[in-house]
Amino acid sequence: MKEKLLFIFIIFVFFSFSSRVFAVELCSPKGYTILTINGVFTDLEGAIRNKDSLSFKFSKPYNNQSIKVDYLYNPTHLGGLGDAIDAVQQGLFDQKSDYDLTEMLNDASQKVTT
Amino acid sequence: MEKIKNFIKIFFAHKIFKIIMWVFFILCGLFLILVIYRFFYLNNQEKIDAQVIKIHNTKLTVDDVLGKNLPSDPGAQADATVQGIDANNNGIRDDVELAVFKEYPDSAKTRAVLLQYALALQMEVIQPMINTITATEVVREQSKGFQCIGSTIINSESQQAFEKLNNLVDFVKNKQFNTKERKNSRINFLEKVRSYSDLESVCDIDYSNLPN
Repeated sequence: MKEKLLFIFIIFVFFSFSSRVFAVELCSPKGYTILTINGVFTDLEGAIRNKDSLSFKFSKPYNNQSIKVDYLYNPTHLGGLGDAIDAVQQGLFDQKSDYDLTEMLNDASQKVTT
Repeated sequence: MEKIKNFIKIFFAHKIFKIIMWVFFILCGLFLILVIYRFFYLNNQEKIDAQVIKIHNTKLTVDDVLGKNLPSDPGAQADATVQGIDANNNGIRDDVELAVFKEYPDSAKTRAVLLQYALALQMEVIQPMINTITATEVVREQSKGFQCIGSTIINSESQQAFEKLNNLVDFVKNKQFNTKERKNSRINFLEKVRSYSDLESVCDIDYSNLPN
């Protein structure tokens, strides 16, 4: 009898753990962030160069606040063909969901602090 | 109390109990597999974290800028491998280091920023493990090197300043990626780079303290 009760207790404990994650993101009201994204046919070398060049161009503060330039990775699919199909779907068929966009927004939510 | 005992007895005698028991054992087995997987994952994560710290702790020194330990010309051996030769072990490929000294013998400030960029570019071929995390962290160092070069150029909004920056950056990049193998290695490396933001600091050393 005791073993059986113990068994029920173990099952109860096993399934009762739950975790809650609280993500407290504090964004600074000061400063600006520019997000750069590689285009469909831009190679990564060019995308990074664009980002660095923009950082240089905006190296001086604006409104006495710093400007930060971040890079968001936008993956290319099937050598650009997958992206072209996506673009057609979005333009002609009002495609609602976009996995890459969701991923980029997720990245942005982690990187942007202003 | 007697009723509860009877209920438990009936419950355990029932077939459904055996099903629950089996489900429980299967879940325990899956949990064990997950624990083993997480052990290897976390072990690997520790190695990656250590490597990331090493990437960001690799800095240019004043001695490198002043050429206190300048290597000899590696000759034909310079392009024999993608990594090339780094005889003085300062993280900068010897032929690139010598080219910077040859081009800017009278400007320690220019050497400082170009050597920092060369150091960051060389990092991508000497990493013991390349994945999306380490590749992205190396590129953050490269962007930092780029901004360090930019910090020496005044009036950043002008086209002239932008061209000057591009000339300095391309000078190092052309020396660094001077063979087909090195260019291909660069392409493969960049495929692993993901989203990133700039590092807080820009230059490894304070070039305002340099003599020229």
